[in-house]
Amino acid sequence: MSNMLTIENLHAGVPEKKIIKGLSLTVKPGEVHAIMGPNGSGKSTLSSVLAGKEDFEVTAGTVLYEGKDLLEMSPEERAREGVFLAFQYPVEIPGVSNVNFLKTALNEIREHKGLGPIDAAEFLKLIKEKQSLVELQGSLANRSVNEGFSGGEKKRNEIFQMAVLEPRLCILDETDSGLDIDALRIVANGVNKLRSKDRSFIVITHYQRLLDYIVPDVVHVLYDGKIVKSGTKDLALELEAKGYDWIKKEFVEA
Amino acid sequence: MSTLSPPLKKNDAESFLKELIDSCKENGFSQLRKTGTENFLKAGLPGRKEEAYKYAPLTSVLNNLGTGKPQSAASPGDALTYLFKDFASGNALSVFLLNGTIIKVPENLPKGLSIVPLEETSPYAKNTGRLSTASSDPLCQLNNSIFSSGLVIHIAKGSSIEKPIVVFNLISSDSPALISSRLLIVAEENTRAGIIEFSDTLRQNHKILSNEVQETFVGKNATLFHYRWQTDCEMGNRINHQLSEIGEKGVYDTMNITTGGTFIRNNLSLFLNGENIEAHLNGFFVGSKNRHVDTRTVVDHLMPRCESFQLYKGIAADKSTGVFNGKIFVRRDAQKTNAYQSSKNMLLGDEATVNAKPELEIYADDVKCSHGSSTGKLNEDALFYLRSRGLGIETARTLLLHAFAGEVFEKIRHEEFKELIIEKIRHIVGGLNTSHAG
Repeated sequence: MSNMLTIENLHAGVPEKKIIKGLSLTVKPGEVHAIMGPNGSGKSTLSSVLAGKEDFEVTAGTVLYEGKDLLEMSPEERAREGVFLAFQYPVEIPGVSNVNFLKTALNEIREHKGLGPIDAAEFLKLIKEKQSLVELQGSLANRSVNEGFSGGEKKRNEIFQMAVLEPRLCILDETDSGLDIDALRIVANGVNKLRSKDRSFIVITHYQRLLDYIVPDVVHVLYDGKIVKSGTKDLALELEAKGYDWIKKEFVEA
Repeated sequence: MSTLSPPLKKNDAESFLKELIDSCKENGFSQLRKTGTENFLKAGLPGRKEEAYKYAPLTSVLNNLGTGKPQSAASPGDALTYLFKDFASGNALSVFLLNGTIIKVPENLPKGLSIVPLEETSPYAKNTGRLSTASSDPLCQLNNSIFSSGLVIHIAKGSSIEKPIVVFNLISSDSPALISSRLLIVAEENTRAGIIEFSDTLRQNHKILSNEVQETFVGKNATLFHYRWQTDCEMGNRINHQLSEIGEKGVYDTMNITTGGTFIRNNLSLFLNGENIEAHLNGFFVGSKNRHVDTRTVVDHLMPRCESFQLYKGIAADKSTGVFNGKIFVRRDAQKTNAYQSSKNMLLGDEATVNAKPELEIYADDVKCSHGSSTGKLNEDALFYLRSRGLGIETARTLLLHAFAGEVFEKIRHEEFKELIIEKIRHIVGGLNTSHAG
């Protein structure tokens, strides 16, 4: 089985600071990888680099997505190729309707696949169906993008967009942050319903809690810009019990 | 033929005015002209030192404008530009003006509505000059002195005019020209009406300046909207003095949209001269190339319990400049005033500039006033968010610019016009040069 994503020896950061320092990771179709790590270990930088945020500079390494050079692609090309980032802090965009924006996005992706624009009735049916997946009220879908949404609503909106756009590689950047237990369950259920043999997930999180709901195939520990430990879901439990100091100590000693 | 070229010496100015005054004598209004002439000669042409014209490159606009009467072969057919063609054929009362002179009015006007040329003998003309004579702007006084044409829109007491009155305010000349025209709008007590004005300078090869005075009187319990959209060509320059007086319980809603011309100045003065008035002043401009769009509002709260709301936005690209100067007076008697003013601008590129200056002068103690001003760039985080969902960079930019503008257009209370402007603005902002943005 060919890889969905292959990251090799990735180095990236901002002009004054190296953040990712030689990260390698392989994700196969259908797999769910959790990436955990203490604050400042480079988790969010990794998600930004994968989504194509121009604030970060890649200084070395390669990233292949379905065999193609991901780093050569613009953010929109990545999205059209099936990469989706669920933002840690979804942006509020006053005056841009959530639904119209999503329709535009979907049609861009369809065009990329050689399909025509989606029929209005079909689109309406699609968003109704996907809204129920994350228990997002219809009124929210019709409002401006994320404007005035609560923290939980913003995260649900991310998963709702993911459900509509049907990407193949989903990156969830601390989707659990700022969620209460009910919202966490709703978001996790939404993600679980989207799991399939062709779709992979990279779940970036600070806490093990989310992984009770979204059970990963592999858990990685990111520390100082590198993956320093990988294991099964039990690794997450171990981290929860022992804290990150254990990893830091082990890493420094090694 | 004399020409108007700053700096203007008194003798030159006098001979320049004399020629023009002589040429429009038959239109009457000798007292108004006399006062205007005196006031203009006293003040002279405003220079850069004048606070009110500090940012305005007026000298280059006024240079070498002749006294010759505009000569034009344009017909109403030519006048219908692509922007408005569909709108004019719709459900509207369309009036065509060429250089301020009526060339076409609807044959059957609804009861209570009169649309006539501005003549001193007209019973509708009696308020002419009541507001403009007091103006401190020399160019408004220049119009008082030499205006050559005018239109009156009069809505008789108790009348509701269902269809919008659409005024095509068209400018054209075969030679460089200064055009001075007037519009008098009188909405008597208990009336309801709406005016949509399309201002356009027809495509030509030489500079034209239209220096216009618009006086509006909104009576007791009357509701009037007046939306203006300027799409002048690059040779077109326009100074509009929009002076309005509102009476008790009156509602006045005005919007100035500028997407064309090279030098555009909108001077709005609003006198809230009664209790419980509701006033809305909104504006939006798009600046590209060397366009200068200058908006100056004065809202004068003279009486208690009035509300005024202002939202002015602009997008400046290329080497364009925008100016917003908004002043709110709350006089001693104007207790319980609620006045709000906001100016928000977006710069695309490093060579565009916007100067915004809000001012409040409050002499009453029980009032609610607020103002805010911001000038920024396109939100890069929002742009990335949209792109990360698959939208191309141009599509994403257009969407954000359009959304920025949309906040103003949401306030339009005529659905058909709202749809038209929202649709046209999408194309206009989509065509802006954003390559230096960010």
